[in-house]
Amino acid sequence: MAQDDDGPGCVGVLMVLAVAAAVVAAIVMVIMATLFIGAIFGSGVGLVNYVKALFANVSTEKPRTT
Amino acid sequence: MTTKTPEPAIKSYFFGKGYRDLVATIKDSFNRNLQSAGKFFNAVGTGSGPMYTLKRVFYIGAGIATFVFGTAVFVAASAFHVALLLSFLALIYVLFSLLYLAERLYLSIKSFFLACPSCHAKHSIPEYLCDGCGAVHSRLIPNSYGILWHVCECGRRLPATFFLNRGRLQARCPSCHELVEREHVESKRLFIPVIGGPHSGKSAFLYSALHQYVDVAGPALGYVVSPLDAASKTVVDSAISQLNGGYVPNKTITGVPRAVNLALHRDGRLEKVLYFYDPAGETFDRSDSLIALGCNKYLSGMLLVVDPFSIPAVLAEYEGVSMKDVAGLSPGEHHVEDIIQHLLLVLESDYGLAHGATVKVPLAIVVSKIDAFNLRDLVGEPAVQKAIKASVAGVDPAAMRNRVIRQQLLDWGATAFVHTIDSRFGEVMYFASSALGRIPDSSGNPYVGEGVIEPLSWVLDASEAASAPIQFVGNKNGRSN
Repeated sequence: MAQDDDGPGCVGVLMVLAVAAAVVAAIVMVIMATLFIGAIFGSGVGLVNYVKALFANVSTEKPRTT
Repeated sequence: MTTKTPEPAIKSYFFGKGYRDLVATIKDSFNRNLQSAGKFFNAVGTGSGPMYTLKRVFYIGAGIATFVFGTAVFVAASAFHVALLLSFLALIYVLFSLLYLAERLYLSIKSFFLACPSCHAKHSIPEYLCDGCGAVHSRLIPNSYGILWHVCECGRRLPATFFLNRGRLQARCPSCHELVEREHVESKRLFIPVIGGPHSGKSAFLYSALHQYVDVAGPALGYVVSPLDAASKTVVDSAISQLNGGYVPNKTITGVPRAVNLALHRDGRLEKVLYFYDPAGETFDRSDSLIALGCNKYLSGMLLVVDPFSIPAVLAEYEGVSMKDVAGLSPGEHHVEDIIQHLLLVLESDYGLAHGATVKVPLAIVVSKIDAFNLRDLVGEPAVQKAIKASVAGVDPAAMRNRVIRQQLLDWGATAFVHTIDSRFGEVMYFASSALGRIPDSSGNPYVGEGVIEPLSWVLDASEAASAPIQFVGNKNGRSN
């Protein structure tokens, strides 16, 4: 016997949950990707700055000029 | 503890400038990170709309990422930089320590050290002068200035180890700053002081013996004997000239004069260098003067000149024969027993000889002035030959000479002296000589010493046969100190 007035039912709930999960996952992925890109970017800038500082400051001692 | 003054050399990067560079790099890198982050924050600008919002999110994110991750990379890179510097420091420290120890061991085995001919100070190595600018490098050894080479402040590379021919550089004594030849550090050497009281005839004996050694005894052994340096040449040439001209060599006036150095070459190669010390007789009268005779630290052997006329019984006996002749002989003023006791006291107090211990370096005791009166017949070769004839066959002439002279000293009443020698010296030989070969006169004929070369040759041979010159004393059990 059919029961048409039971609301959205299991499938509907599952679909809502799936969409919600997909949204959350997308948000997390975006955040992760942002963090990853930020880490790569920030680390790259930091590394370049350290290398630049090395070239600017490291040198062997020169004999005195007479 | 001595304070180390900086060398006129450029310190190894990993011991000096590396750390200044590290600090500067860390500061600079951090500032650059802040500036980079600041640039992103400043790029946000003002405006409205979705594009502006996107732009604002991008620049703020970039700024935060630069600050956070850039700082993290900065911290990691700084730590790596520090670790790298410390690793190289440790590696270089280990390397130069090993090389330094190897060099010290080698120099010790070869008995190479500086024995200053001028002030007699002993140093493991001298100071070296840069051959580019003349700067004085007092520690030209493997250290924080370099393992194999030091770079002088003038830019010249200087060898920092014996193994790289460091000896080619001009050296000088760290104590008196006198320039010294390479041979004063890197050669086989024998150190022989001539001991005796004032007027005992030390100078006449030494130069007469050196005259014969340079001209006859050395060449007979296959050596070409020559003064090592200009100072020695002046002294030796002057003394030989005086002897050849019939003059008595000058008495030593300086308390502790410069060593007289002879270089012995064989087949064009330097085999050894001889150091002779002729301190004034007055030196042996005072402990402080004797202490100043720094060669006591590295004696190889000793020549003790005994003026028989310093022995009261001998003086009294011959003054009875001719007071005038005895006065002409300038009798020694100090008892030889006092001189030897002074020497032993100083060796004990300042040079590490254990109290009552035996002096292990060979000692040649030379009874001088045997040309006077009948001394030649009592202690000279006639006396020795007579004793040999009277003894059983096969007796060693050297042993017989030893016995005859020792006994004569006992007969003259020098008992305390002979007993001191017997008890405190391990290797002793007695000799008799006339440094000039005759009573001094004004004839102008050359003086040719008699019995002068035998004690010199014996003490040189015995010294060479002994161990390293620095091990000159022993304790009561005969072990070296």
